[in-house]
Amino acid sequence: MLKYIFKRILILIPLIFLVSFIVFALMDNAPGDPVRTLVGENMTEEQIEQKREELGFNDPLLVRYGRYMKGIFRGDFGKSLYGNKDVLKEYLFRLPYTVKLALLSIFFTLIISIPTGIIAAVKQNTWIDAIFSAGAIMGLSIPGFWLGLMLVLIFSVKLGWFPVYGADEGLKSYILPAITLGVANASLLTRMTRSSLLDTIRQDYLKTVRAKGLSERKTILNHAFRNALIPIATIAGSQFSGLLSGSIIVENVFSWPGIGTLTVTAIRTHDITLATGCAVLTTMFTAVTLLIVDVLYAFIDPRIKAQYTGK
Amino acid sequence: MKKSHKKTRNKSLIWRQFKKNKGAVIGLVVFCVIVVIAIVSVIVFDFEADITAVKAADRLLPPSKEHWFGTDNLGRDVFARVCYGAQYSLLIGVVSVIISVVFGSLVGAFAAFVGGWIETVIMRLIELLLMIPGILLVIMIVYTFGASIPNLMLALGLSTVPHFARNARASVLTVRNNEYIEASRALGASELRVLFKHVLPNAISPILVQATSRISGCIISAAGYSFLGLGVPSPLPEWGAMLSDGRPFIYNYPYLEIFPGLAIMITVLAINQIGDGLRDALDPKLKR
Amino acid sequence: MEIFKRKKKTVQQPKAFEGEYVLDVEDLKIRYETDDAVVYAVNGIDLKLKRKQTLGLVGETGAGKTSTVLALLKLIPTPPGVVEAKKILVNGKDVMALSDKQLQQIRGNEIAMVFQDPMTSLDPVYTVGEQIAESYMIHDKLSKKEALEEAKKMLEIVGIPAERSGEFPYQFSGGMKQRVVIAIALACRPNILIADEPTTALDVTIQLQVLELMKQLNEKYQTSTIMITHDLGIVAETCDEVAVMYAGQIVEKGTLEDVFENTKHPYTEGLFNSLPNMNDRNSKLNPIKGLIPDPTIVFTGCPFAERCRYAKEKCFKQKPTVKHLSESHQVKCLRYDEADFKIERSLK
Repeated sequence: MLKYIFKRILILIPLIFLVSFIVFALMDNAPGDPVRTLVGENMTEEQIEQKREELGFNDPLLVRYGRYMKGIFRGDFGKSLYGNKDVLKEYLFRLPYTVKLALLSIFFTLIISIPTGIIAAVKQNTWIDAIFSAGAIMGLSIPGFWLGLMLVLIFSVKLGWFPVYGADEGLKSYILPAITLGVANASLLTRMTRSSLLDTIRQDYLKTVRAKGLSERKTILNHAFRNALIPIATIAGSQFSGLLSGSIIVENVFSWPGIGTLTVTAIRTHDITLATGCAVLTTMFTAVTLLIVDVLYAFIDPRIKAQYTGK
Repeated sequence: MKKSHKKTRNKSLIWRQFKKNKGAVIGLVVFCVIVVIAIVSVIVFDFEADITAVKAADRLLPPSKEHWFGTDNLGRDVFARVCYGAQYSLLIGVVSVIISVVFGSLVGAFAAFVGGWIETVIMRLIELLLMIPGILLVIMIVYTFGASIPNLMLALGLSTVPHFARNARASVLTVRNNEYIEASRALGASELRVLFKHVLPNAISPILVQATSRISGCIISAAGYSFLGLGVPSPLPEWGAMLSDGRPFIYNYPYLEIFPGLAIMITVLAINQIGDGLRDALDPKLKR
Repeated sequence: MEIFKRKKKTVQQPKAFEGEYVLDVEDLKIRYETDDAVVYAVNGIDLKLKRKQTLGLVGETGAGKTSTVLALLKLIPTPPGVVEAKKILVNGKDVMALSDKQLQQIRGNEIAMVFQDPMTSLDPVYTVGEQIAESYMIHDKLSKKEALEEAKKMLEIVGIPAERSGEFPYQFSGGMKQRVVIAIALACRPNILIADEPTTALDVTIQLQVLELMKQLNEKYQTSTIMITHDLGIVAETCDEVAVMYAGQIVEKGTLEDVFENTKHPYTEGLFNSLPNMNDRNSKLNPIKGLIPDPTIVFTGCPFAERCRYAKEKCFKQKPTVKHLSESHQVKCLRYDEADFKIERSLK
């Protein structure tokens, strides 16, 4: 198992190289001159040129890239061009907000999807099933950010129950954005739960279990559901790791102090260092989250554990 | 002669199965209506006069008989803009996915056929690319090359190429190793013939289903990026961009935010229904 | 201090039933009502199983064998399924009248079943020890720890080392999985065991091992068994009595000798004829012409008539009834109303 984890962590290295190279190359060709924007209006051409030389912007791409990578492996992601703030510090300061939002969101997703999915499966082809399935399709079709806007309109502006933006009011601030992020995931997960349960119910081993004399309730709960949980957990896990980057637009709607808004701000202000740092760090954290999810997964499905340990 | 008879028989079977799903049929109808609206809007509305011209006197009027969806902060008729904006979402959605599917499938199928270390290298690269969050890629690409419709299409398309590449390779591999392919080869069929006659038809179904869901995903994403200002540029009335424009006025003029959003939702809903219907119709093993 | 010591729970003794027949089924009919059609799976069969007896239930796929035995455990899903019978007595109790709770008490406890495909019969997420232990926890009310101990003993009995009780099904081969299924079935010492083609999915060499095991356990626990199979060789090896099923009916029933040496029904004859001749490798194979009938059709006459070489006009019009040829042997064929009717096999 440790070998498997180690191999996965090892893959992160080429990943970091790849991401940073792509971002670097892209940002290099981006419009606008970061140095010029940085120093403002009141410098002469010579001073700008001098500044450029100073900051190392005249060096070729690969050299700058090499310098940057060396820095990363020392833990130095550079300083943002604006405000000269340490990129890593800024990022880590904002990361908890996004993570907490993601956790609350996946929590909502789970408590909505799993019961609804189970009910829809148990009452398959009845009107209850039809309603839940229709609801799921609707949920998948609503643009997340629009849902956020509507929720804010109704619950914050008109009803005043929640703050309109920001993370200042504690748990109350988290509710609307978490729901917004959770709806699309919940819709998908409900459908997954339903189909997974329907699949498991048809399995042969349930016949063996019933023939043992186990009550119907325990048969479904301990055996059918336990097995149905496996694909559900996979999807929920990857949904969670996708929330770290997927929250960018919703964070914007709620002016959320997370890494999403940090990334967008960085891009908008041509802050190459900050933008590159955000991209690399977000990719890394997403990959690590996915690894954690995959390892946890091994504890639910013994066959996967065998794969990891190589039995 | 016999071959084409079988193909049309299959197609009509699929259509009949599709028709059974009422939601899917409604979705198809709605989708066609939206396409018609998009086409008609281009003809009926004059871009300058109806869509972009500022009419200060008519600013921020609520929905009424003259302006079904009201007017925005520059006095432009929202209904006209929403109708006109349909074309962007549809185009971007469809073209992005076509780019994805074509490039992705080519790369994937190529890798599967070529095999050896080339295949390994390509697949490793794809695995790595898949670990990069798509949103980051798109935002960066659009930002670098400028916010425009072709760039957005390209960016959205490229961000899902790895996904389709992996699927295409898997399809080619499974079908390739099937016994009936070996039988076909034993009878002397050339590699190309095997590809077209056996691999392609089997690989198409899952691709079609996935492509449909990707189209609706792309439409939502495109609206989102435009909302951030990193998509379709102003003053084009793309639905996401309209939502961004109307945001400062949400408190007192909520209708500016409701209609474009509804438009996105209805379009995406229609496409999702079609996708569901297709999936049920194409999968013979699916038991409801 | 003795009264405070918790009595160590032990596994119960093998169940004993005092009546003559541990299984007594009369006029069992099962149909499945689906959207497209009604499938008549079982069309009126009578079955009696004596104590310590092994009955072979023979027939092709689709003859209704599995449905019959599932009805004994009341495991036919009753949305599409409809089960009717004059009586279905398991150890004297009418299964149709029992409540769910009572049914759960006899399943796995008095009557147990071994299913056909070992690859899919075990829950992949529980260890084999846990799956056997579950039976003890349900019926003997053992604690989990005690149940796992008993499970290990059961594993040894079926020939699997006890150390493997913590392993998962995917770690076992097909033959060993089937042994686990047998262990689960026999854990609570039922007196009736139903084996639904237990070796069909296994390699021939493993088949022999599993059958041997079952024979030993039958001896040891004195279980009455129904062995469902389409393999006449297995019947010859393991059964005392044989019932041949066709299209949801029992067309011939008798002792092993009755059916094998004194075959009466044309279908049974066809089964024997279709066995490849080991002595003459060049002889042609002799299948029964035609296909098994569409189970959605209700027959006016004998369901085998269209494939029967001895069929007369009356066979298509009149339903055959049970004819007792001797105390043990019975057949359902109209031609035996005629005094001197003999099938070819009888003439040899």
